[in-house]
Amino acid sequence: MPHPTTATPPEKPRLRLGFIPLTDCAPLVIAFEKGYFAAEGLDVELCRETSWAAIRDKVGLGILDGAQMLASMPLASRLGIGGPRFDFVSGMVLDLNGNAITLSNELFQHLAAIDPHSARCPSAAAGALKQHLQVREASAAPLRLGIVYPCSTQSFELRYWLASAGIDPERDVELVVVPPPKMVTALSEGNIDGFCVGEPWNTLAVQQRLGHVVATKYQLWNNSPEKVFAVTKQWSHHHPNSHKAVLRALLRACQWLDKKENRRRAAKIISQAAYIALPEDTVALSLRGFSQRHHGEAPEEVADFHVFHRYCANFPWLSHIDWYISQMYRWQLLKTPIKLDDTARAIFKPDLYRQVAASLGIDSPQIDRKTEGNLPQKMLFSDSQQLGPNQFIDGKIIAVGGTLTYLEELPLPESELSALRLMNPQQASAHA
Amino acid sequence: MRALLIDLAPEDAKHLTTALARAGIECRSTKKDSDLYDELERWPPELIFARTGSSRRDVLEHVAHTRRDSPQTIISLFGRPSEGIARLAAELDISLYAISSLRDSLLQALIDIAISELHSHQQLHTEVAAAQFSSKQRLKTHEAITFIVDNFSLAPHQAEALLKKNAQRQNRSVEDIADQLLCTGAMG
Repeated sequence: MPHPTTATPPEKPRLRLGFIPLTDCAPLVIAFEKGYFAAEGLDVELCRETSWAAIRDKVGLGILDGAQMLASMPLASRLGIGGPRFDFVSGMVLDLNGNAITLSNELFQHLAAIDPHSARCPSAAAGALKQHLQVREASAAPLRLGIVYPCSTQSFELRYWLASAGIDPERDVELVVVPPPKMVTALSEGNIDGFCVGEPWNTLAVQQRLGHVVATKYQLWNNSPEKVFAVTKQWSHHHPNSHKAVLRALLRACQWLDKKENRRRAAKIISQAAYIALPEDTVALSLRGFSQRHHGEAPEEVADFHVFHRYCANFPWLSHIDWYISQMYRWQLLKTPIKLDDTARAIFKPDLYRQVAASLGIDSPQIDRKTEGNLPQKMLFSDSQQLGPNQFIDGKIIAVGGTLTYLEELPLPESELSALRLMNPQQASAHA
Repeated sequence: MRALLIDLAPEDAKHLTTALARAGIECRSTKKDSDLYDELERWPPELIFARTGSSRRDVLEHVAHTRRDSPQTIISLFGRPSEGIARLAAELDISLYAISSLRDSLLQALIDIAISELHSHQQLHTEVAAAQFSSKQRLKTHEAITFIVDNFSLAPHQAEALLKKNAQRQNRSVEDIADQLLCTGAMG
């Protein structure tokens, strides 16, 4: 039995942590299987859940102590968007990238006929989809695209991709929620025309010759956050040592997972029946840095398809929360004015991360926000860490404190922008 | 008033339907994997009882999000966290959705009914199962004593003592030894 690495014992050693069977549940599974939780003096029970709503409610009601959550979920829950209000906090991002947009064979053939570059270039595919929608018969049923949760990262990525070609996700297509394990079946039965989901479901759809991947999350916004570990504010307050112990174990798991030589072993572990319950080779493909975009073709190498630790991946950047807030305003999921900085700071806890990382001898960024969309390639960031490439598909750059400026470029009601300026005078005056 | 039951265990759905019907609420259970978007459009309920762990919860959340007049997730009552909601989810794996015009006092009463009905049935089920098990064990011991009396010409009290002695020596239960004797004809 490994020795606890913490001098302060956890207030609550027996914990129940929730996860959804997706490839990026790996940090929780590896922390459990490799004994990192036990090394922190924690006796963890991993609870496999089948919906994000169950994860949200069970953590919120105290049935689970904490869980893997979509990066946008703690924000949506705090604002009461797409469900009840819960005060979730997160001290750590679990991974970057990992999602993709897959379209049915039939829809993809239409796009490829309009623009053959659709097979390789997400912008070309979005442009072709725009043209396809324009020439479709008005009487045809709207295209149905699947997402996994109303305010999910996938929902914002799909909307971003559609909007990059001038497609209105609210009016030009129909977005429907489908549980991740049922996405591929829904596609095969013709209930949806495409979806945006995490791995391994895109790979499975392509391997079963049901669809084609037209964009990866990496191509839409390089190295953007996907899952976080979240608990309630109250739980964190009452169990500070348990919280830090969990984060330390997860951070060690993320370090282990990021090593290329461990990815095959990780696939073997997480593909087991207790976790994802899919063939090891299906899970291994994206984990080993390959994207199977089209059936009958060799998988493409995408080294950063799943990033678990490098590029300061685990740091909870407030600028990431800023981006999700901006998208909630953009798609009118959020209409009331909020204090941007206070909201982001209430959810992401960079100082907590710094404490945990320091106890493991890991460098942390000393700033809480960074400009988003401005890095065409990776950059040396601190003594031992780099930042990964960071560009949006539409070339947008959002400076630190520039959320309001970004929103002003979008067709939002002036009354909403005025109210936001009033609530956030620092941002408004800085960009007046 | 109409209540839709989503992915509840058949026994739970049956008991809840009966209890709610007594209060004048019409209940309907969804079919497995039916299209919830379509179902909620065709038969709009005021209340939904969904299995907390159902994979269709996220679909339900989307409907609640996009159609503001449809039932919304209920987490708190009377402006504060509800113990009943937490018990409903933790002990019975049920989540409640209701339209916004329903009063909290009504929802509290519904939660109380659901908990008492399903909890008492689950409790009864557990108690009956335990009693049946115990009864089977007793029967088995009795059969083993009869077997010893018939085959080894011992008195019933001697047969019982023999079983106990063997159980003690092997650090096993009397029922276990009785089971082995009936299966193999030997006690060790």
